[in-house]
Amino acid sequence: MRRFTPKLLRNEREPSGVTEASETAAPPLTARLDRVGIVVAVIAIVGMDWQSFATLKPNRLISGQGLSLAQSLPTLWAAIGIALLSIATIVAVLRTGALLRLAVGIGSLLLLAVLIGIVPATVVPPDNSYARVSPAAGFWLMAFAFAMLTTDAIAKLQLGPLARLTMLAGAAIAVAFILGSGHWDGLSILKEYATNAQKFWREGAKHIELALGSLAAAVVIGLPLGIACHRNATLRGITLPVLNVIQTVPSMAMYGLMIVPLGLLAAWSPLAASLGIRGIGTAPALIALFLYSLLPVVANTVVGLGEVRRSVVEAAEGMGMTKFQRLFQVELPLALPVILTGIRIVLVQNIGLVTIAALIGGGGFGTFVFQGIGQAATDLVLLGAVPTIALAFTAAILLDAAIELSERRRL
Amino acid sequence: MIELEHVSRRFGDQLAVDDVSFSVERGTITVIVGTSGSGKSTTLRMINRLIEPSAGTIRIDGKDTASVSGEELRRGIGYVIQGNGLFPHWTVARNIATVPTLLGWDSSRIAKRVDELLTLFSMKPEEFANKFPHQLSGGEQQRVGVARALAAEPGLLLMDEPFGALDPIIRAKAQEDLLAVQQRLGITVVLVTHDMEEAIHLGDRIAVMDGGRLLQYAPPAEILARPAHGFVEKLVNGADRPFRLLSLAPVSSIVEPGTAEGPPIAATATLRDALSELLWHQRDALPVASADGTLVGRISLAALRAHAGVPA
Repeated sequence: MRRFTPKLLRNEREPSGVTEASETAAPPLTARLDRVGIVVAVIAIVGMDWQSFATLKPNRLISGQGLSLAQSLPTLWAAIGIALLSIATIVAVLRTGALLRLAVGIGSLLLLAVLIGIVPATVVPPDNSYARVSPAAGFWLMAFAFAMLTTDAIAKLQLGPLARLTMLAGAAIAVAFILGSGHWDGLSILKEYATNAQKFWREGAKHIELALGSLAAAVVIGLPLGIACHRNATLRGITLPVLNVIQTVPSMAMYGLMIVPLGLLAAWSPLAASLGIRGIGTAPALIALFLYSLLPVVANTVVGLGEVRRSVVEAAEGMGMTKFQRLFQVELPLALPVILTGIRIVLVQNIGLVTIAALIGGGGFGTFVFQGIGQAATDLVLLGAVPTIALAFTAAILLDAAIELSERRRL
Repeated sequence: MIELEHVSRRFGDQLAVDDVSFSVERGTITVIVGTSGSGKSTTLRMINRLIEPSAGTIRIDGKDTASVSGEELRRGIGYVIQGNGLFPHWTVARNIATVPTLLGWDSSRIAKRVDELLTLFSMKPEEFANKFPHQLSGGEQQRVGVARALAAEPGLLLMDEPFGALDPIIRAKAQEDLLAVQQRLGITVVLVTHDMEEAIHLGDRIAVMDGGRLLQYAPPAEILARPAHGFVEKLVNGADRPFRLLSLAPVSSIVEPGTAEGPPIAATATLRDALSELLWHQRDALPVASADGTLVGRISLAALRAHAGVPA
């Protein structure tokens, strides 16, 4: 919209004969600034000049001392960093081409990734193995600002789903490369990883297992239930309100509610106990997540099937398709984008909720979060939180691409 | 031949179709006309059992439609609805192939049939076969809808307001296409519309329905000349009644021997066209020419007048 405004104004002015004056005069300053860029710049400047870039702690539990960009890096690196990040901020704030903005955004993120890796060797004496260095508010603010610049540029480029998937793969490869090179090994979060490496992958696998397992169960039960609700108004009138109520139960309470009945079941039935069903652990976590997943799957199936045009369904029936043929060849394929949207909601939501399942012994990355909170070790909390966010982010991008691909052939 | 015998349909305590009987000759076009709520669509849908009759019998070629399953019955009957109902996620070719696929035709036979039908509706197969419905114009979508209904070579085609969503020019073209295809394939067509003009133009016979009852079932000329008392009269008694009547017959039907001055009129033109020419050229008679241009006689204003109405 914004881009067309000057053109429109010009067209309106032409007949009145003042075209010349309005075209030669320089546009006002605000017309040359990018609105998202202003926000990016404000956040980046606050992060660079008023917040510490890294925190140095004598050991992993004691709160530490903030270091500015200049304090945490060798003089040359600090100078290069400040210069390049300042240029990036200027590019962001001016109205520039989307491709340039994308390159500057990605470049700045890579620069930040390189700079933070240099800090430990600069500020910690080589013989001190207790001191910990972590990224501080300034780093996170700048990372946030330039991530915003990058995503805004991607949105402006209107990249197709396949291009976005390629970018996701590129980001994953870049992160894997930096981790593999050992450049970040001096950072506190990776020191926490080093002591927990085996457990990290075990809990990660558990995390994904819980999120995907509950999703699979919700699709297996929810899809047929949604189809039945679409066909039967009475069933719909009962099912959706019940699922709505389940959705409003806070997750902590839900996990708590599972403990008593499942504990009793395990006590009474040796079969259940031998299957690993107990009041705490994986079973209640899986059941709670499954219950949360049902509403989005069922509701979106009902809405998706309801949106299929009446004439299309009637044509299918009029040409002699059976109920099953109609459902699988016409109704479900046409409802697929909406159903996938429900699955996207469930997956992203579950990846977050699994974290809390650690409270009842369900496992997952939440284990590190709660362990870290218990020990007041911030970096251990991050070891659980950062991969969780990365997983949710990846799931969202993957499913958004799938939804868009499935939408292509829909009118 | 389709025979409806004392067919009724009840929805709850409302009688949507009330004791309707009529029969449709093989190879003809029958138009059911009526306002919304007249029961015309319900009647049509009972023929392919999208709606089951509450009472009465429907026979196609002597066979009771209730003796086969609904799906099997429908696969043998073409069906076209308003807004065409094309499957938006399938290509034109796959849309047309719907019923042959359901019937289990082999793929080479299906491909051949799709090409044949696209060509019949003057759409180049290589250009249109792989397009999706949303890439077509309204008129093209409508043609694909009819092609899809004809794919499995049905002897009977049911059409529910097939031209309702088209603008007037495309609509006229679609009507001509239908007449041409019907004549070429010799199929039986039952078409539902609310538009009397369309009914008169397309129908060999017209069934007028109101309030679930069949009020009159007759050829268009008879409906115009001797409308049943009441609703049918109101429906056809407009200012252009004589012109409608004239549009039903060709010039050759009242050509008289003799000659006349002025530009000749084609023997195949309608009487309405002839009247228009006579009025425009300010003459009482004009010569009539056959297709090869030879003069075969003349047409007079007096003869047209005798044909354009009934004496009061």
